[in-house]
Amino acid sequence: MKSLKTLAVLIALFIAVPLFIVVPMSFSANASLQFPPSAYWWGNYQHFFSDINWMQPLFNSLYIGLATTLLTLALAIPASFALVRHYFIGRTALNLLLMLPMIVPQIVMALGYYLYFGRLHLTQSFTGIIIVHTCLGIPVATLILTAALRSFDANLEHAAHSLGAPALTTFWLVTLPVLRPAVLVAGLFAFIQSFDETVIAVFISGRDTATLPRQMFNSFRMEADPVISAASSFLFILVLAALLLPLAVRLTRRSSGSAAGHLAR
Amino acid sequence: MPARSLSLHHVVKRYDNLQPAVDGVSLQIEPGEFVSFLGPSGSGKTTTLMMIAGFQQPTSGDIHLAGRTIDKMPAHARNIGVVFQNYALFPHMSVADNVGFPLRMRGLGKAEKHRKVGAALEMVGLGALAARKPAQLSGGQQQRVALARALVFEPDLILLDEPLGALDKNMREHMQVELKRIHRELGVTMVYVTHDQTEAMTMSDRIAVFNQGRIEQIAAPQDMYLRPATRFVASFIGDNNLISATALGAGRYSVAELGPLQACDLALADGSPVDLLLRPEMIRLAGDQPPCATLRIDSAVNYGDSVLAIGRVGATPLRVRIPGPQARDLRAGQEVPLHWHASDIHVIPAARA
Repeated sequence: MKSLKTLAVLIALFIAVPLFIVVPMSFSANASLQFPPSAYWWGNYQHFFSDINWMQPLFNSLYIGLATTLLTLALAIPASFALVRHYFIGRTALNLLLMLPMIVPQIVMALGYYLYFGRLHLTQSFTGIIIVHTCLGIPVATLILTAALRSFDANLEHAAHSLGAPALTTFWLVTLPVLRPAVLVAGLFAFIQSFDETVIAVFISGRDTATLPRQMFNSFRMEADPVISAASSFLFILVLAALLLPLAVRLTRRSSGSAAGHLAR
Repeated sequence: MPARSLSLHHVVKRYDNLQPAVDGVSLQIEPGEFVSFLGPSGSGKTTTLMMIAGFQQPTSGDIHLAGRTIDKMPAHARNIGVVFQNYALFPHMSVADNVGFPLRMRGLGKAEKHRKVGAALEMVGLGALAARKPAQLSGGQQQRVALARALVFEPDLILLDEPLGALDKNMREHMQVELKRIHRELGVTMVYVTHDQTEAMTMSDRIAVFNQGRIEQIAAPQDMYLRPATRFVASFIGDNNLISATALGAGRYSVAELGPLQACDLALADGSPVDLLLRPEMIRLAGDQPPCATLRIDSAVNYGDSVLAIGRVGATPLRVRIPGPQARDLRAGQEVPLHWHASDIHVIPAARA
């Protein structure tokens, strides 16, 4: 039992080690990537936040991430309802189709999109990247939403109808709020997926539409600029914040709730 | 609250080409009546309720509420309150918002809404818990909230789908009394679905017994108990002895290996097959009276206040419930003389089958 615990801690450490290298290195005063750094300063961060070559990709990534999140939800929510609530010919096939982006190697998809989008003049455009990232985000979003929908009590909708709410009102006032945690989690995963995605971004995003991971990849290949470590640390903290946000919200809500204690759902 | 009548005419619900889930149900419920739909699972009682509520469409037939045809009307326009077994409270809303939901849908002003929600919660004894979320309430409290929500908008009809099924025994009995009180105070028409015969017996003005998509009988609880119309109703309600027999005319019936029995005369043709219903508690130990039969006891189950003796008369199995002290000495293996009145035997003409 004890040795199992030790093993678990070792594995966790092994997974986390890159962070212990990248985060200290982001404070390095050395002119090239080098570990351990010989001196520490804030310079890399100053450079990162003042250089248009880094800020542009950061804002591109945020913009693409948000647009991807909205588009993914707009497609995955109706798709999940169709998959869970209705029986139709080709339902299993549709389910499989929606899962494909998770199964096909990204490099294969990247190549496919590169050739296909070239014809459609969608390479180097925001639209192109948003479409691709949406495709990548849909499998996980659909999995999360269909799971939530399967455990959704249809009597809640029946109750709302009987109390006088037409179908659309019921959806906005009852169905969606009850499914909200699942929608938030699905959206979060879609955003992180887009924000982290590198391979396809390298293939199809252009200079003006470069995402942060693409800029990091380029910078690493060209010059091994130590600002990369600042960018990586920032990327990491942003994703971590996004993941911890729902937890934080729940904790504050619980502590500010009544003395009876919220049974948080 | 206004009391409305409800009537169903030859309502059929067919899902596939299989046996219909509801197979031609007709009934008339008077304003202010409390009617239970009683039957085993799959008998069509819940499906019938869902069609009245508007969650499912009848394949054919029509439904009238207060004289209007409602079967083409969407559920949200019917003005019917529904209480579900699993409460179906909106988990993201407080108790007050749950109860206020139907008033919000009807565009009521804030002050009036507040007053009505308060009155409804007061009615179910939960005035102090308006700010709580459903998850912070016990099962019994949640069902009261659901009840308040279903009656706050003065519906024409309240449907209850096994509302007490998820509660423990004590809470269930308590809620039965509460429900009856609310029914009395409001005078609203209520339809109550249950598979629990005791619940149906104690609460209803009338019971409709469902079996295989049809209503076998609709009658007041006592009538149903004493004069069941079919063998199914007789066996579903109460403990019973059902004895196959043949009519001999003039109120006499022959039972194989038991000889002729005297019961009431239904003027059946000689030789018609019948079922004789003799409730276990109608049978007494013969004492000074001439014995009708002799029971050989196979087992005696002591309930404290009474003993259920299970045995045979000849080859016919018979259950006898003897109350009080005279039952204490009954043991398996004994042979005891039994007595009953001819009028205690209810004769059911055998089914079409």
